[in-house]
Amino acid sequence: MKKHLLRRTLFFLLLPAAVSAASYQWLTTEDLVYQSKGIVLATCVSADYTEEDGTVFGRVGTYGFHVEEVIKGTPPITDDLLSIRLVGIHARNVPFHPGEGVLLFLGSTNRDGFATLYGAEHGVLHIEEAGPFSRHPGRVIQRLIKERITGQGAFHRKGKMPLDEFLDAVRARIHGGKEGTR
Amino acid sequence: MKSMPIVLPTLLLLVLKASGLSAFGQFDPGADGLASHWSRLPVEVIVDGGTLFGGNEGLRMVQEAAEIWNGVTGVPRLFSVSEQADSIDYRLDNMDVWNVLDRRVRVVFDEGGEVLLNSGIDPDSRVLGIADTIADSTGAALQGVVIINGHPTVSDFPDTVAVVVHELGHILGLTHTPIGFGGLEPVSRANRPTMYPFTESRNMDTLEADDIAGVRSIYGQGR
Repeated sequence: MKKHLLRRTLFFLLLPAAVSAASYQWLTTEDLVYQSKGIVLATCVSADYTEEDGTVFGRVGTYGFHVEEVIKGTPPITDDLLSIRLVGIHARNVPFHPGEGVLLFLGSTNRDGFATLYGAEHGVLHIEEAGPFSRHPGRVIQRLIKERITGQGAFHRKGKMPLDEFLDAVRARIHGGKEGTR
Repeated sequence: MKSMPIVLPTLLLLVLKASGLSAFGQFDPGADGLASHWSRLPVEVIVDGGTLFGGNEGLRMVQEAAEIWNGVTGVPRLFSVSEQADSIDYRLDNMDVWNVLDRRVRVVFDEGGEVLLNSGIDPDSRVLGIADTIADSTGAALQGVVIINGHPTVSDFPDTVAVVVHELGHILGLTHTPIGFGGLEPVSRANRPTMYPFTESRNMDTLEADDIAGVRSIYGQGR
């Protein structure tokens, strides 16, 4: 299992500039770690998208995740399952697909019991298997990672980052006493 | 070779700049889910009657933002903001009143961020505003909604007008610009286009050449 995890790498595929229609204040990866209410390592197991009445808020995507590990917080998990419901444009543009591995930075739980994303698209990091020809796994992705990650140590890495290494850096920060101070 | 990822895009932008071209983008409804244009101008804008910004302050901000877009020459008047705020406070529990397909734009001042939270986005996570539209089969807008996050952690952002200007740009059909984003900095921070995705400070409520070129490409004569 560990070997399997070591081969996985994080890809920062979803950026607001590419997919959304919103304005944000910048969130670094450290902001996500310190300020999010929860962090989970999970696999999407269901994705249901509907357009109920043709209106903006009639677009609803409901996604189920099997949680492999809770890294921070106490997100609403029942029988290892976490549910997120996205309404409006984010239901279209934060696409989750069954079988896909993700690291989710979560916000508050809404009144219907669904977990929410911290920082919208910022809060979704996709995990992919490193392929056999991945020495140059996409320069755009490498560049985006460089921009997104600030700080020191593992968070200052320029290229794609092994999942274990990233999670170790996250845990170090969470347990380092800085949580909630920024 | 190591610097090629930076050099090539930079050269591309320099070529674009030298040739007088811009980098703005227009939504593709099929790919992006947002309308690419409005078939009838000016677009009517109705403002939330809630009290988030106190009295008519919200209305004034939207009118100011709309007038910034209306100042673009070479295009018809783009927005018409109702003289009075709606008599209704747009909230999550009366969404059926304002979430309607009537070829208008509603600006929602989301007190406490309840609409955002219901949409799956934590309002306490530096999201300032969101624009959303529905398009017909030609890409023309049937509905527009702007959500201004009213969560206490962001509602004191110093330049809400800038946020509204940016979101109205999306309503018109403009995507985020790549100028000033992605490690490529051919423009100073003060001259970043309004359609730059990250609103960091004041001085974002003016249109730059890229924004103007974008809206002219959609609505200008001879397009």
